[in-house]
Amino acid sequence: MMKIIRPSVVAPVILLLSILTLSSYSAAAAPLERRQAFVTGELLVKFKPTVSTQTRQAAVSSTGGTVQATLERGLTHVRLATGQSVDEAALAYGSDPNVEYVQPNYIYHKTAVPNDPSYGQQWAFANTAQTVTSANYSTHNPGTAGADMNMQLAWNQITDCSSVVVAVIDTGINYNHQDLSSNMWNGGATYPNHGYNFTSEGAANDPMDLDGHGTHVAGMIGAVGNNALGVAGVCWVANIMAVRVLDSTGSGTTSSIISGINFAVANGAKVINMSLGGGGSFDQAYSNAITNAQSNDVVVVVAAGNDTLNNDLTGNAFYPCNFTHSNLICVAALDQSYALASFSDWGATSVDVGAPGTNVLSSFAGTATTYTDTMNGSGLSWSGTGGIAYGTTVPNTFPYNGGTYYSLNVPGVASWPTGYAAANTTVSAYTALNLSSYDAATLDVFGAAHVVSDSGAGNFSIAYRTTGGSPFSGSPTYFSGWSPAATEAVPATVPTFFALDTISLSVCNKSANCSVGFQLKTGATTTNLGMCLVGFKLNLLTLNNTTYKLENGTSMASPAVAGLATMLRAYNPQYTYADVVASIKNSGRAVASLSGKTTTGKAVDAMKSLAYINAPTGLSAAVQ
Amino acid sequence: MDFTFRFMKQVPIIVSLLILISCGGGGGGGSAAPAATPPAPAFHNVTISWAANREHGVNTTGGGYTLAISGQSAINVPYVSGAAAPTSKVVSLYTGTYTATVTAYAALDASGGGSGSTSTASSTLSINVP
Repeated sequence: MMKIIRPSVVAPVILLLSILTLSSYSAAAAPLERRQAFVTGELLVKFKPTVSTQTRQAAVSSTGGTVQATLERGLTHVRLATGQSVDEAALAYGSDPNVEYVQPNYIYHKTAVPNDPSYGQQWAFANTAQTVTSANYSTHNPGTAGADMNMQLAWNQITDCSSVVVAVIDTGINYNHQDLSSNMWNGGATYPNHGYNFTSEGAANDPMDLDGHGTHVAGMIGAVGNNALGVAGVCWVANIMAVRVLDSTGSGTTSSIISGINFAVANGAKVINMSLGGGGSFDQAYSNAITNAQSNDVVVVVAAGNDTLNNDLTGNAFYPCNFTHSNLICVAALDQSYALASFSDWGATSVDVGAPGTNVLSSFAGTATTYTDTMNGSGLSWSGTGGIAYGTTVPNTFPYNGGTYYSLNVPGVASWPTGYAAANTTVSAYTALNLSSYDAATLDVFGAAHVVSDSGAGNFSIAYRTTGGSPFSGSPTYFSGWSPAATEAVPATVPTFFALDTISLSVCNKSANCSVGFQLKTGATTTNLGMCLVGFKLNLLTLNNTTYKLENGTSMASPAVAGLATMLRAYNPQYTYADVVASIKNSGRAVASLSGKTTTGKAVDAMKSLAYINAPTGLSAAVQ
Repeated sequence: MDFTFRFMKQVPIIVSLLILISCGGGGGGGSAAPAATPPAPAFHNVTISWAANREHGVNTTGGGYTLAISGQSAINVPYVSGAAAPTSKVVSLYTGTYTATVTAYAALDASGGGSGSTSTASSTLSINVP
């Protein structure tokens, strides 16, 4: 859309004054040539109405210029003499009594709006106070017009960030997605799938996303823009490296993450996004990997976390956000009115900036569905050793608050926990799953045991078998962390629960004959011990290349900033990590909700970052 | 330009004075040395340099630097051609102490227009011109 010059009667006066001011440049004003948004070597000269065509022509010729066109009554489009500055020519024409006013031939641009059909939902880029449909974060939907990253102005300057490799260290990426495939990093024959997989699931050279999170993150950074499909990313053209360090449950380890960071650094990434984290102790190996990134001039953008906590407080540290490396930017999530999202962590010394993080629409790895067995007997078919029964009462210490939830009880006494296994007894239950039509599955499971006395000799385990039947027959294969030796001993308190856990069923991906079971083994001194299964939810994913999804989280805010970091490096090819960090932190938009909750109090603003200029350094003088 | 011409005329005089002073210092013996004659106030060429900014806008048409020296008009050091805007400027300064700062500028402004952006000033440099 063209900007419109207001047809105001004061305009000529203003323009003339403007030129005179600029022409008298000395200390404060920069010369007119500094302002790029006009055509160099051209002017528009408005002659007075009484001036003849011949006189106008003579006036132009006398300056060495040529008349390009007469636009309207006396307004002449002039091509200046070679080497003549706009400044000089403006002064010359301004002193001509036949000239009413003179002005540069300004350049205007349309505001860059991509043609992606769901772009109107992407409030993060252009917030028009639109209502995001099917939103799952209800606060401030719609939000406040203008509370956005100011992308449309930035896109007038640059949309192609492909000169900069940006690594998404996450659950992988569905690199075949229609809005990502052409923006994926080319790893050549060594890395034919655009990155690497450092999890224990799947092939090492295949960073396919079996969760969806990483694909969403990648889309925010670099979904192909203006391709009439889906959504746009911060970068319309990008160079995205997929580094899978989180498995299908969304979990990873220090080992996998630092391997991912080092891989990205070694293979040329200059921006890394890590929408991940965990609370706890300072992790030296992790810190060293980010130092390695810093040493190699790599910007690392990370999420603040989603626990509504002040990360600055003792015990609340969330890594990598709380690392203090100068190449690291930690990002909080803002809603559609630029209030701090209800879930977002913050920290006046640990969190740097804010970015949109609610109702964020982006690419997704495929179709995600869930199946929950309500444990009332109408769901999955369970078999048990020691007998099973369905009950409706669970202990009050359960996270489910007890009381009315259905439960699968082993041994088979409906009024659990009144039925107990004897000492030195093994009881189990399993169910068969047909996962043949799914590319990935995880299991949210919750088990409980009721113990009066066991002296720690009992145990609880979870196993699987890919050929059907009881997973505990023969030599069971236990899920990681759930072997009888690895799992916690049955506590000697009553009643208690074992765990609420998410288990990857990747071993059963595409399997039609997978069984999953739970087993309780009592010790020699056990009395009053039983097993109760309450939660059993399957999270299923079928990959496809056309899915988009709304998500909330600092995980979504972080890639908004990583995309901007990538854009800044592409726009300023000589930029170092320090320049990028300074540009993002020192520009931006002051936001009340971030004041005192971040190091800057600012939300990122792409246009302001592009226009930001670092102060010159290294000033010295040599007197001769 | 005017300053430059005047300075160039001054140079031989300054050099001559320095030579004379230097020769005069060679005496000794028991008598007191004559008081050194301070150099006559004069213009000096001073080369002021700074590190190149890495912004695209500074190093393209419409970009450059502004050199501010106390008591002097600001000096524009625009991008002209090539890979980068100039990062030094030779100025002619009269005997005295000056402070100098540099700011960088580019054509693009924070609203996406062409009214320009300017950096904050560099650290202040003190220059003593003998």
